[in-house]
Amino acid sequence: MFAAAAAPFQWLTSVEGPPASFLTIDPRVVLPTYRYALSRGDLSRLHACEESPLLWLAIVLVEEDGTVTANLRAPIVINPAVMVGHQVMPQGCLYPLRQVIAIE
Amino acid sequence: MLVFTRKRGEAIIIGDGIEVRVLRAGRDGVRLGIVAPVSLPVHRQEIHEQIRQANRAAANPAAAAGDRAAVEALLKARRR
Repeated sequence: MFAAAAAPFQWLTSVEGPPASFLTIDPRVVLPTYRYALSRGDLSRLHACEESPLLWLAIVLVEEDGTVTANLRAPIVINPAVMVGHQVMPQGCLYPLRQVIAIE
Repeated sequence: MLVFTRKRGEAIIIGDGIEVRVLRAGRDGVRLGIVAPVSLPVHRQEIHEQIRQANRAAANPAAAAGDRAAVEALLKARRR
């Protein structure tokens, strides 16, 4: 779900199962140097190849003190061509689970 | 819980395509090798649990209104 008012944030809302909604952000907005190598298994689950254009979303968390952080360790990757998405989990990922989103 | 005793180099087979083999057993750790179909993700439990917890915290519906307010404040500060 895209809402211009929330840009660069995006809401991801469940349409099935228990109600849940996640606030997300493109990890490259948080960290321009962000790079994440998808494993063969990740690509196969996404029905994607290395060249497929994929949509990357990091889950945003608002901490109790109001700090806004993004989960860069386990991003959601969506293959828009087949509308399949998964949360990928790292084998040896060094990105933080809670990266503070800086106010410029 | 099903319990097996395995020596180094021995394995167990789960279902039709999953193999868990003991590669090395030391005093403070056991090194395991896993063979599984690519469709099955395999993770260390603590990493899996950490990410599930982070997801649960982020999906809390009660926090949604607070999230909106915090994000609006952040965006406002960014635009300034």
